[in-house]
Amino acid sequence: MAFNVLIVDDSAVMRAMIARVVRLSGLPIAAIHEAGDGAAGLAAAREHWVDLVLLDVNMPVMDGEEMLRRLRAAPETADVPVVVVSTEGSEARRHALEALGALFIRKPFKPEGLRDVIVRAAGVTPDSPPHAAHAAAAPGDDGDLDF
Amino acid sequence: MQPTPQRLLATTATSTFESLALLLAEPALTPPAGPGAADALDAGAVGARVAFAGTARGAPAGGALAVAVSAGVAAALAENMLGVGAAGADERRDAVGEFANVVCGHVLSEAGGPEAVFRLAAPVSGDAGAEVGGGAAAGPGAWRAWLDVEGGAACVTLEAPAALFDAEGRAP
Repeated sequence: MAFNVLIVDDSAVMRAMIARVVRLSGLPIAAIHEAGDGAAGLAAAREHWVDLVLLDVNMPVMDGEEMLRRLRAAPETADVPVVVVSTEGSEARRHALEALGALFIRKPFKPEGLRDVIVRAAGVTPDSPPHAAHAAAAPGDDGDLDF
Repeated sequence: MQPTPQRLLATTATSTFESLALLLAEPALTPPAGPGAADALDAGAVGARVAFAGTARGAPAGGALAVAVSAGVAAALAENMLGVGAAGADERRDAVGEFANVVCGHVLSEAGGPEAVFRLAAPVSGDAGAEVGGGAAAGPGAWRAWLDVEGGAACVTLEAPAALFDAEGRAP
């Protein structure tokens, strides 16, 4: 079984950069979907089965925090693992995101750092199926991924 | 030693060039003279501007961070981030915009501290003209750093309330 990943970021270059890391993560990837803002990301999450969301915060139309709240409020997406990939430096906002069950990695990230947090969020080793251990991704534990 | 605003801009931009795109950069020893950054860069220079609003140490702190880079630096940024051989004009502008976004987020969190809360607008990028990265010269409430980067030069300008920094112009 392979992962379906949704990347939500208003920068096409950043989405492409993240997609490269996802493909090199060692996880089996079925599809990578992309969206340029939170509203488009929500629509993509409703249209496609998604195993993991990689989410920016500062975006036009709908920011990542609002999209994350809406994901958690909908039964079909409430448990999907989310990794916030952002420049966000505010501890208050970071804690708010982590309280919603998201892991966090700050831009600019090192590829191996993003790969590691993706694997932790998915709760799997590269050889095991998705949704195996979503609960293992402990909010608030960022694994020293701040750069 | 705590960073002055100019040093903070230079060190943040330098580390962002390296980590985002594996580009080596260092503060320019002889910053170009002239009224605006765009005047000192080549004709294909690309700029980006990120507006922000928020509060730091209980006071409103709004402003903008602008970046202007020479054409070669814009190309290298996009191509290294994407892992492609030749980035198009849209990709170059997007890459410079994302670079500005990352630098802005780090500068604000460093200057404002972990309790500060800022909201960053989406980057506006284009030619390095007055409306984006290469506008007015640094003055009161504005700080500028020039960098020598592989393939050209870069200029980072922060427009922000002086209260974002301490009385000696340092980020607390």
